[in-house]
Amino acid sequence: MGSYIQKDFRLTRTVFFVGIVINILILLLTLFVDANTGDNLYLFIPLAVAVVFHVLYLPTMLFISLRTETDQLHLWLHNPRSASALLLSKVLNGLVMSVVSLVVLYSMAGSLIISRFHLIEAYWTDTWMAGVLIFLHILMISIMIGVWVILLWSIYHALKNRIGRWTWLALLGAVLIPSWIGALFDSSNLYKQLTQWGSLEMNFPTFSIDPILVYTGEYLHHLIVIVGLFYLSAWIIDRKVEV
Amino acid sequence: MIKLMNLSKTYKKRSAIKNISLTVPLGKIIGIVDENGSGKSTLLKLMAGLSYPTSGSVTVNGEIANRKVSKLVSYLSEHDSFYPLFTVREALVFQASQFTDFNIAKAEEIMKYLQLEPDKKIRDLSIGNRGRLKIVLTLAREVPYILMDEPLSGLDPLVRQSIVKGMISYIDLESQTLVMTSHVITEIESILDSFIAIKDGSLIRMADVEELHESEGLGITEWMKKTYV
Repeated sequence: MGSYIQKDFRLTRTVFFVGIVINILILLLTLFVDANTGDNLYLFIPLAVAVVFHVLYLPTMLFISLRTETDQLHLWLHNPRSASALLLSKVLNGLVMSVVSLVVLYSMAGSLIISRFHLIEAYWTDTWMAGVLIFLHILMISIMIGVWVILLWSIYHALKNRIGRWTWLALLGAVLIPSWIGALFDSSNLYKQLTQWGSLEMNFPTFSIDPILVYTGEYLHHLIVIVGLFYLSAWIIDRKVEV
Repeated sequence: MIKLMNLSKTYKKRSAIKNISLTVPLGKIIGIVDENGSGKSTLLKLMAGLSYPTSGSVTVNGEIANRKVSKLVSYLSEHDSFYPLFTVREALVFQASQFTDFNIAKAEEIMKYLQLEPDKKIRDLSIGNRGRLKIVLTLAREVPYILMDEPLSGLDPLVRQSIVKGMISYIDLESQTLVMTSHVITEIESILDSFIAIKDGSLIRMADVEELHESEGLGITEWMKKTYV
């Protein structure tokens, strides 16, 4: 597995380093905004936008990595390892890069907060908690979008030699139909019964917002969907994708 | 053995392989001959488990051919098969990490024979040297079946004969079979034990070279000239 992660890092490292440079440019933009507006709220807009855009970081890395493999598919697929192992290496690689990039942005934001504000401990606790929760949710959403990228890539390569130009229509169906079914399911009472357990209340008293209620069941549901889509993609690559 | 039973392969509406049944035994050097574009690459990919039959079956030592048979089959694609950022040596190390049967000492020996520079980046290699590297990566695996699709393409015509002769010296004919294609059959004819002839995706003959010579007094090239008119 180590050699695969190393190889996948090399396939995407240029994009990773470009991303780090973009982070530094965003910091410069933040300092520019600070110098020109003098408003502490505006100061964090570029950093916040960059953090939110990280939901697309892992999917982008996966797409670039899979796109590179497409050029020499026989090389990637002609080995006895299961497709799940090959894909897991790409997901781990992208995830580590995503975490590093987010940590860089968080460090920048943290040092700005320290230098600009003199927060009391309660504010610090809420800021820290909110930051960690946003971090984890960004990673979770990016993994969800990432497994969809993998699934669509595998469906495309499984069908392109069979149905040619109709493959794009099949891909559209593969996005729209499950999304529609998923939306129906999410709004049903059955979904509420299955997922609304293990409630957790998140309080941020210093932010003056109502407590946020989340359910362990909903997180488990997302985890099951992610694992299910991942293994479905691996199954398609192992049995249906041709060189 | 590799066994093909009533094998057909259709891409969209085009038939690439039509109802082929044959057995590839161990201990032979076999050439697949055809007219250009009549299915030899598809046939090799089906044997390597990298493509799937539309109907019929391919088994390798009794296992249905899919990605897992790569533990029994070493496959050389007619296309480039490496990550260009690697050096030649890194490609060898990566191949060894993928396949426990990859003999790195043998790879280094073949590399030396083919005069490849180990520290050169693959993206900086000439087409000919990329072809040589593919041969190293494929031949250094100790598996029963070695499948090579156009291994000589891109190589300098002046060195092809010596590379072909070198290639067979690295194959253990007690335990290995080499199946190869070449669009210039005269370049590999001298080393072949048998041949599989395909025309428009159908098998028209599989025979030993010696048997062809005894029965018809012809070599493969003459027989092809007579047959593929």
